[in-house]
Amino acid sequence: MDPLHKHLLNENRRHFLKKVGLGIGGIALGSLLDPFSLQSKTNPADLLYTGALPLPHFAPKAKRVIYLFQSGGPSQLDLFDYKPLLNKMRGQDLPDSIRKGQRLTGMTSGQDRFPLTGSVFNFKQYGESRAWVSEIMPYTAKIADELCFVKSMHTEAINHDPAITFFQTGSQQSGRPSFGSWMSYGLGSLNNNLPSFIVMLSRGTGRPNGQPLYSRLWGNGFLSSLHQGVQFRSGKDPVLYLKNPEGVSRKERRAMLDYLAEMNEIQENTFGDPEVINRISQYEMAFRMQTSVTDVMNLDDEPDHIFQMYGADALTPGTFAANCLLARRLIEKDVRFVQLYHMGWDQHDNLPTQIAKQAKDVDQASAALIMDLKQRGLLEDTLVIWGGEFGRTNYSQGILTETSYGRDHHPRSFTIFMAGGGIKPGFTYGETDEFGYNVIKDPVHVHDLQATILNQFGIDHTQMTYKYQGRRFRLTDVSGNVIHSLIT
Amino acid sequence: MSVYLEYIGKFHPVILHLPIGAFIYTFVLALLGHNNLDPYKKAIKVGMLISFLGALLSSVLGYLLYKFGDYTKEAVQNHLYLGWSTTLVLGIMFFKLERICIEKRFSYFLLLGVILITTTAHFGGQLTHGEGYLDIPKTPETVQYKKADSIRLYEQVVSKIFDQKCVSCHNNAKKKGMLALDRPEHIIEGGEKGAAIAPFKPNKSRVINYAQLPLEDELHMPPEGKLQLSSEEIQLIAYWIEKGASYTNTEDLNSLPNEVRTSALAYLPDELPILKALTKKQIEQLEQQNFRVEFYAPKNGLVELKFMAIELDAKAVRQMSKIAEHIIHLDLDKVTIDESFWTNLHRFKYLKKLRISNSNVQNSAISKLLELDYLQSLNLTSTEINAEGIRPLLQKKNLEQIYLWNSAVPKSKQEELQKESSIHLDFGIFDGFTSPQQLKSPDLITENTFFSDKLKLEFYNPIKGNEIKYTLDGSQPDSSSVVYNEPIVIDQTTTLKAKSFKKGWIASEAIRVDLFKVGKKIENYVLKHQPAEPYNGVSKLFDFQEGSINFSDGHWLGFSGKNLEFTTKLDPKDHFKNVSISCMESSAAWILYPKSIRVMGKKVNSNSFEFISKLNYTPQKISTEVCKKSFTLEVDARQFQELKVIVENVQKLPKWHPSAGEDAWLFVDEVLFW
Repeated sequence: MDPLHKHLLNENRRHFLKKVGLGIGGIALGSLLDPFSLQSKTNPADLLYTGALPLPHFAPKAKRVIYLFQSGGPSQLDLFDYKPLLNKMRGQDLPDSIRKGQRLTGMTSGQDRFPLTGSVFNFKQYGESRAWVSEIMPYTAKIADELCFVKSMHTEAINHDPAITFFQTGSQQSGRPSFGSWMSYGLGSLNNNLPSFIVMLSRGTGRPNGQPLYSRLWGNGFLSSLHQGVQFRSGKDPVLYLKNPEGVSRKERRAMLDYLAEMNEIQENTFGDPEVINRISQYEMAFRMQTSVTDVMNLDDEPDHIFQMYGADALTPGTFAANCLLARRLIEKDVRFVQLYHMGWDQHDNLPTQIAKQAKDVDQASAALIMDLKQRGLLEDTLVIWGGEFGRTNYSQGILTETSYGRDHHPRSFTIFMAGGGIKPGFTYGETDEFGYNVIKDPVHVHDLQATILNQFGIDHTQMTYKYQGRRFRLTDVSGNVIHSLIT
Repeated sequence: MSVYLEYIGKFHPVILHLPIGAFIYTFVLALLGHNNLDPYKKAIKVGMLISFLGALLSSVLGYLLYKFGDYTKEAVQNHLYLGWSTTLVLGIMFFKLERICIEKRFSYFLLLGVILITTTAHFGGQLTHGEGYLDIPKTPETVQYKKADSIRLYEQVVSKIFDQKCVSCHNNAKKKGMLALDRPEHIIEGGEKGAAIAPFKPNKSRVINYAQLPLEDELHMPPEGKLQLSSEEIQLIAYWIEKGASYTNTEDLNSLPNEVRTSALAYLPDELPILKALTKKQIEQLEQQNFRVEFYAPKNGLVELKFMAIELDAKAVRQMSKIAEHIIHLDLDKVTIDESFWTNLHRFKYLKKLRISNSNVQNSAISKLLELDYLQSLNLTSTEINAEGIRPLLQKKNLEQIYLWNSAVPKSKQEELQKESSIHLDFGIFDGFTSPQQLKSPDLITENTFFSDKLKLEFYNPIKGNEIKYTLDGSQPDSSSVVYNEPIVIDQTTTLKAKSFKKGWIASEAIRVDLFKVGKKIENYVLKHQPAEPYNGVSKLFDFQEGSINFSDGHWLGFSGKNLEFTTKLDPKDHFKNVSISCMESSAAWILYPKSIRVMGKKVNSNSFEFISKLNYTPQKISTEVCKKSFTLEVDARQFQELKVIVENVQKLPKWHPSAGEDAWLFVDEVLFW
């Protein structure tokens, strides 16, 4: 068949029957299932501005997210979840009654002993809320009363990539849209001059050669490519290929884009592929970003005391601190979802030295970001999330020495914290057993967390769906409960 | 009999439409013949006859219905008289038609008939459909409050009181008196003295009793100096206990005693008004005026507005004021606001959140904000509002939060203002985030440290006010050293030291980079063992490209359990004095520094290698970090025609290593002759 006309047959049997059977009703239904089908002729910029949900399901408490993803699996036992028993039982084996047959990674499954080890770091309680925080997070400790700690997180995955993918997309297998893409799809953009989902990466100094991250983690999956995360880099060229080639003026670029759009429209009329329209829209976005990005990334107007607040790292582009500062600037511009990844939290060995460096990378900047948002009145409707993809074991990976130990991946319990966005400040939720191994109270599954976060945006997580390959997909897959106790 | 008469009367609503139809028919004929009635006269006569008979019959039936049905005189009166009058007029029109036509008064009678029939019908309609049936539909009352009719006493009231006044000491982490009041299960558990709450018995509940003790009493709760429970709060808790202290029950709000209800109501979330949704046109008009419109919640018609341009002029204010009631959040950050906004502000009845940060708002405008009953959150950051300006707002009801960071309120006044108000004032001071800190060391972009001719050194320094100062003679850089402005070019072996300086910051540690001008670029060599995949590519050893601390960055050669051993022919012209081997250690990745390095040489005219120099390396302590190191041996090359270099792998991982006994790795990125 002539491929040019193949798209005319894109209608499948079910569509056909539905339309014949239900006439106009069928078409209306079809447009409900695929909200872009009827819009496709409108101005591409409009596609982004309003989300697929005509209204929030209920009044939202948050409008924007900053997700400070700590990639690698930070050790909850050395940061927040204080377990003195582990120090007392140091070197003894993890009892089977606690492990309960938990599967292990290939990295420790060969170990014949699982010697328990407490943290080498001191813990204290801070603030009115008396939250436990380790000495390597002094700034986080200072703002404990702004934070909501969830100590009973648990996940299904045991290795980095599936676990991060699970947090990002609600599924361990890749291919589904990322959290930020879902938000962009559901709620639309608040600022036409910037993408609504922006990603920034930084390498930890504790383990500078940790696993890399893949851009599919912020991919749009089956959603329109308008919703994919856009990575901003440090350095001269924050967004690659955004600048005009040398010798091309902005005016010439404009003329070129106009002509290109005309040609694309012809193409769209021939092929009927909605991605052609998306492409026009992305060219337009890129054109607007030529000025808007330069504006956001230029830190000349930041006063010195703000740099001091975020720490000396903030002066070095590409660090976590510098990214935090940029995140605040992006939030001020109403970017919907800003995701930072800080790598290097994978402390299989030499944990004390490494994690102290990791903590130093993020502690001051994370706390400063939260306080900076607060003083600007933005924390009210901006949700900040801090956490990794899983926790770490209470026993040592490798040999336990006086000053050093390692910890393997542990999916059964870990700690994250949140601030702002209508989440209870100065609150600790959930509890693990004395060994810091199992959750004994108020477990929070990854899908529960996702459902709760969506809830803060006025979204019923069971209602925000996208039909693809005959199934309605959602971020929380087929589970997830909103944890009302976390909400103000 | 009367039953039958009433039954007949029930046909009134059926029959009455007959005369109406016939009269309309007549009316149409009369209109057609308004110039000359003659051709229609006969037809009009018939029409009037049917109208009159129909009206008569209808009136009789109506009277029966009234007489024997359940209608009161007052209700029917108007309809009855008007009905008879209609019949009478229609009668006259029928019997005296000729005369009326001659006197040309037919049209007056027609008009009278229309009026009579219409009014009769109107009152009749009221009888059957009820009064107001035909009232012009009023636009629904713009504001309706969703009435709360039930309350979850624990969740919505008691837990809030506990959270506010008790939980700071009685929580799971800080269990004063072994009591936690933060969650139902903890409350049930009680404290060291026993249960805090005796369900159904407020008088026997410690929570109530302790709160009612005199303040001086040691057992009084909350302790002296802490925020006390108000009598309303005690009453609410007592009522909840009296009702059984249930953690889940829902109470009918109306069943609550009056005083309890009044104080309980304050805890219920204030309900949002329900307004008619904005029309598409209204939204478009707003968007044309540069407003971003977002729906706040389904069906209540409220919106969040943000002004996307920088100058909010009178026209935009007018547009916005038209729908002022609908605005729940308004964001005017970085906007120059027109004076008319303030005079219209009282119309923004339900405004809960107002952001006028970075705007031109003046003290004088602040009093206008008092008119906003619902205002909860006010953002005045980076404005010219000062202490005097903010004072009128300090007692404002419902206002919960004022952001004043970077406003003109001086530091000295901040504490005083906060004392005067229960509204949370955020001045954004946060101790401990502002102490001077040390800068990071300068970031040298140039990665090469080896060169054979010239080398350009470049720093990355994007931050304004950050100064890099450097020396090239090995001395420590200080504030008087040369400032880096442009790339430095060197043409000999140099030690670069550099430090960052910035006002208000502690100068960074110095970085030290040794830059080698290399005497010989090696091109011919023979390697004994090949490196392992994928860390191979022998030429990398002599390419002047240094590796990073990432062993898989492509610049490193890796040998598992084997040595690096190579020979290379020398040229008589070569004059170098040193051999340097650059290695990596990363014990977690099984990579260790070499055990030793030996250099041997073959003299001119000799056939065997003889020993020249050896370096043994014994680690001082177990290394746990990833690091790089250069090992240098002195070698006088002049007398030799060929050199052999052996970098000895430690072979097996030592005892201290978790994987002791496995093959160790040796990683080398550069070998230099200089």
